[in-house]
Formats: sequence, C-alpha cells, structure tokens
Amino acid sequence: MKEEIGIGDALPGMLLVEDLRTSNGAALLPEGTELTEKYIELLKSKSITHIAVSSTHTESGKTRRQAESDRVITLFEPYTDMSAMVLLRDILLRDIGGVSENEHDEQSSTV
Amino acid sequence: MTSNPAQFNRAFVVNTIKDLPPFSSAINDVLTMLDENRADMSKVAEKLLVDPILAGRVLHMANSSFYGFSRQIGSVREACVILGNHTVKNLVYTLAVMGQFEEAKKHAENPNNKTTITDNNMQEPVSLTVDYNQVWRHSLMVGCLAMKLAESVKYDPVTAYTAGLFQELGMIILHYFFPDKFLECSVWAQKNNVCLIDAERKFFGIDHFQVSALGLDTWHFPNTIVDVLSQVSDLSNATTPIPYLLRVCDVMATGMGEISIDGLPLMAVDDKILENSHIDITVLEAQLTPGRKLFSDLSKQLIA
Repeated sequence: MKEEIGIGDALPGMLLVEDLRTSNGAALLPEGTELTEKYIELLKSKSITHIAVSSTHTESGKTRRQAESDRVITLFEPYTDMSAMVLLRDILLRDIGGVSENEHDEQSSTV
Repeated sequence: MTSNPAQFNRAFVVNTIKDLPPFSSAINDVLTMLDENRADMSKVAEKLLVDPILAGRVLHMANSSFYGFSRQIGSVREACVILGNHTVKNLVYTLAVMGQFEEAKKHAENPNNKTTITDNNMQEPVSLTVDYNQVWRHSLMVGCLAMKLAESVKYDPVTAYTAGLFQELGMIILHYFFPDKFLECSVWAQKNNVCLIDAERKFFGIDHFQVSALGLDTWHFPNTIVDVLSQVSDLSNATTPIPYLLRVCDVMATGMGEISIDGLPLMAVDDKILENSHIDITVLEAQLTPGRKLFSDLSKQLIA
C-alpha cells in the first residue's frame, strides 16, 4: 500500500513506490529503490519535500496492520476449534502482513 | 409495505419479489435477443444503444480489468462482438439487477424506512444497520475472489463471479420487503452468536441464498447461476465445487474487511467445505491480492 510521507520522516529501508523526479522532471530515483541514509540526504539536497513509499515500513502502516490483525483475530475467535477456520484466519493474517496469533498474544502480554 | 405472513414460503417470496421495479423494456428486448444462441451481436448492440446508460456501462465494463483486453474497446458494437453472447448476457443481467438494487437503495435511504434497530433489553444495547452499499461491496469481493479462484478448479470464472456477486441479494430483498423482521432476525443472530442463514431459516423459513436464487429466477437469470445459489444454501445438492468455493470466499471477504452487516457471526467453513471447494491453499493465498485489485477496479464502476 502506498503512503505519502514528509522527507523528514523518511527512514533507511523504506521502499519508493513511484519514480522520483525533480521539479523540472529530471529522474532522481526509480520506483522500487530502497532508501539509504545517502539517498535521503540526496533528496533533501534536491529540495524534495514529500515521497511516496510502501506503507510496510511506515509507523502508520504498522499501526493499521496491527489493527487489521486484531480485527481478524477477534472475528475468528469463536472458531478456534475449527481447523479450516484457523487455516483461513492465518492466510488472512499473512496477507495483512501482520503477526500470527501467538506473536500477537506475546506482544499483548508485553504491553 | 407487505406485512409478514404466518408462512413465509416460496410462493409468497416469488409473489413479493414481483413488487420490485421490473427491468426496462430496452433491457428486456436485449435479453430476449440474447436468449437466442446465435444472436447477431451487432443487432444486440443496436438494441443496447436504446438505453444509453446501460450501453455506456457495458462499454465501461468491457474496458475494465475484469476482461483484461490489452487494447481499448471503442464502441458498444465492438464490445458486444468481442465479448460474445454468454458474457454480454451475464453483464446485461448484472447491470439490470444493479439497477433494481439502486431503486431498493433509494427506498432504504428514505428516512421513513428505518434501517437501524436497537435492542435495549440486553445488558449491552445492540445497534444494527443494514447498509445496501456495504452488502453490495461484500458480495462484489466474494465475486472477485470466486472469479480468481474458479480457474484453478476448472470452472467458468464469469459464472463464479456472477453467482458470488448475487449471493447476498436475498438479504437486500428480505430487508426491502420486511425491514423490521429482517433486523429483528439479524439482531437475534448477533445476540445468540448464530450465523445469519440459520437465523433467517428460523424467522422466515427460508435463507437469503434461496431468496437470491428465487429473485434471479423470477428475473429469468441463466439457470447455471440460479442453480449455484440454490446449492450454496444446501451444499448437499452441490454438483460442482463452486457453491463450496463461494462459502470460503464469503469468509475471506469478511476477513478482508468487506463486511455485509457489522457484528454478525461468520458463516463458518468446516474441513469438508474447504476440501470440497477443491481450492489449493497456496492458490487461495496468492489470489487475495489480484482479487482485491479486481474489486478495487469494479467497485468504482458498479457501486456508487
């Protein structure tokens, strides 16, 4: 999923989901580039203010995925004794890119 | 509004559905032409153009990712010729029922027709709303997933899609004609943690899959789709993996966030249903993203 962030929030490891160009159209970085400290400095030096990155690595993306995972776990809660439903639930959790129920429980208990 | 009869039987449902606005004469003319297997698709296109809105939507759909043509289809005539009788027929039926759905939606949005119920007798009050767009979005997601998965079980994807798309139509029909009873039934299901089709059988003597099949049969929908929907209601009569597959897609669509009615328990899938759907779990997992993309494309065109 795409998310637009300010350059100040860019972190190494984030993936660009659109080609990045300067205001006069010159190519800077192509879609799919993984940001590094060096690239982030380059973008700042070119006065790039916003970039579109995959939400996989953003904080709001993580929060959203966690909320989605929680929703799915709650939805499937009454069916944990049905192996087919557990299988479908785990497919959905992997699709969200969230955490397995065990990991979820571990995370909840550490809060 | 019709009152709830003591016996909510098939004859009553069929009779009640006749109160829905009929298809326009232009649509009926097109469908009559398409009933001939060797219909001249150029003439079908001419008939379609009598209803410019329908013709425009056919052209839009022909150019959607659903059909996956690599080049732009420029005219309704070209769309009809390229898509062929079977596909155009399914498409016209889909758009025609969507038209009925829009009428039903206007009815539900009328403030005089309550769509929310609150049960204050419970320790925690239950509030439940039937939102036709939400029901429709859920159905569309079921249809999109079914289409993507049908090929892997060697079944016609367009039929799987159309059956999925209309499997919840019965909910809308039941709510349209019996809003209070349907909401009472839904709240009861929520309160007692019973899946909706079991609650409907208790309250109406019939479930919404059967009502969907009856509704589509009344509009002379192709039998292949009507039969699939009847079989979703009674899986013991299933003659293909598709009714099982639709049950799996129903759970997955809800899990993916497209919920028909908030707060209702899932219609659980057991090992037998999953096995009889013939779905390869790896394929299921791999098709969620393509299904979601198709949904995103079609929802812009089909849902207001």
